[in-house]
Amino acid sequence: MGETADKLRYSMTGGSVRTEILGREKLIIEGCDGIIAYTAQEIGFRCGRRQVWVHGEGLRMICIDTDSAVLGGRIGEVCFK
Amino acid sequence: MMERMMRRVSGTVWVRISGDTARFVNILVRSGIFPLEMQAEGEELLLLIRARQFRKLHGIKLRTHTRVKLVTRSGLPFALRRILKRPGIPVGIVLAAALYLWLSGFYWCVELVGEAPYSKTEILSAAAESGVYIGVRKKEVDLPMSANRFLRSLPDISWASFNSDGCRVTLDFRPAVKKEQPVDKTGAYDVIARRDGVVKKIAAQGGTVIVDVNAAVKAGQTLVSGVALIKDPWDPEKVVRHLLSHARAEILAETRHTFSASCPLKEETMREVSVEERKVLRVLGLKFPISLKGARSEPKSIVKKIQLSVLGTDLPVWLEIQRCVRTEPKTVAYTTGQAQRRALEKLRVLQKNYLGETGRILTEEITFSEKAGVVYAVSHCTVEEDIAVEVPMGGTG
Repeated sequence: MGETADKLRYSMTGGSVRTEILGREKLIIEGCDGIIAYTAQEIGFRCGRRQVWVHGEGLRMICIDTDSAVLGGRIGEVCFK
Repeated sequence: MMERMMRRVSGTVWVRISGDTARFVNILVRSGIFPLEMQAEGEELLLLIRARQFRKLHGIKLRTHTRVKLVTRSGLPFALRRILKRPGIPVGIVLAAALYLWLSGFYWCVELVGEAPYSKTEILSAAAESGVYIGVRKKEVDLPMSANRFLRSLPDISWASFNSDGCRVTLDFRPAVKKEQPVDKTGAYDVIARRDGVVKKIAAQGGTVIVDVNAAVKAGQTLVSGVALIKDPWDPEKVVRHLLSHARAEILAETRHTFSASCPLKEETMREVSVEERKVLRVLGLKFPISLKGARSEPKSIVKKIQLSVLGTDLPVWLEIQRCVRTEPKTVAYTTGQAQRRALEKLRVLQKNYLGETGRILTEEITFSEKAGVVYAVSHCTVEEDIAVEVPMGGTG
């Protein structure tokens, strides 16, 4: 039920995802509603119907909230699917 | 830094999640539990969460079919639990704190600052009599009042102040500056005889000498007058002016005195039976006997105090050496010769006290007599002494 409510909330915002990269070491993502995978090499975020994948080395989650997250490490690429 | 402190106070735990870690984290965040740190170890996840949130993981674990394992725990709640398992530690901490607070209510050091014509022992003794001493309760001391009492007890100190700093009291004092009283040269003074005698030597510094050497004088007779006669230089018989002055003179005369002293043939004295030494260590006002010899609580005891000091500061720790002398009465009998010698010794002391530095005995006749078990020594002597005394003119001295 909670997962469905997050999808509804996300859809009401227009489905926009905000991604902010600070250099290569930090990435802030807003508008996500959960993580798909979490490893040191890739972290996947679910953003409504879309997915945002971050690839790199030594990736770690600095903090995570209901609709946002901050991750650090050596970011290689950010993919939107 | 505040965040670190809060973590330590509230307590944190590391937990290892294995299985569907992504779903676990999603549900965890939606449940309001935000991990403080996250670390990936292969397919497993290490989460750092607050200690009170650990119980909530059980429901999420069941829902996501993951395995949750507690790795480490740290913080104040866990430390307190470990301490409470050993009650001696918190009890000791509480007692130590209570002892510290209790001891903080006393003064444990009295420091002296200043110079005064008194020994350190005298000053500390006067301070103790005024209410300030090592081990006194702070509430029982009124420092300004004690300073006033201290000043009254030591007249050669002109200013004193007690200042406290924690458990230390500093006594500041300044010596009194004595002004020498100038010789009163105003007014007219005569020199009169203190007692009867025959004048042997006159040394006058002022005034007019009335008596001659070898003249017999009576007590109260004027020897040197304060009236100075100014004579005509061409007619020595003619007195031109009279001047009033302060007569001063040293007049040695032969006088007669009778001294007497006595000594009983039987005398009650106290004889020392035994001497015991007892050592007591004083720490912060508490007594710890060191020697096993128990001195009796006799009223006569001599106390010696050895204070422990570090870098010039006296600590509230000292060793007291009590020397108790046990005495018993004893009757001492003297022969007539011994009693006469003792009486003669007392006579000599009397003569020395009376004559002082300037007087001397010219002739002396000593007789001994015995009456009612007491030997008397009587000395009729001729003494040479200074009989001059200054009195205001017209007064009797």
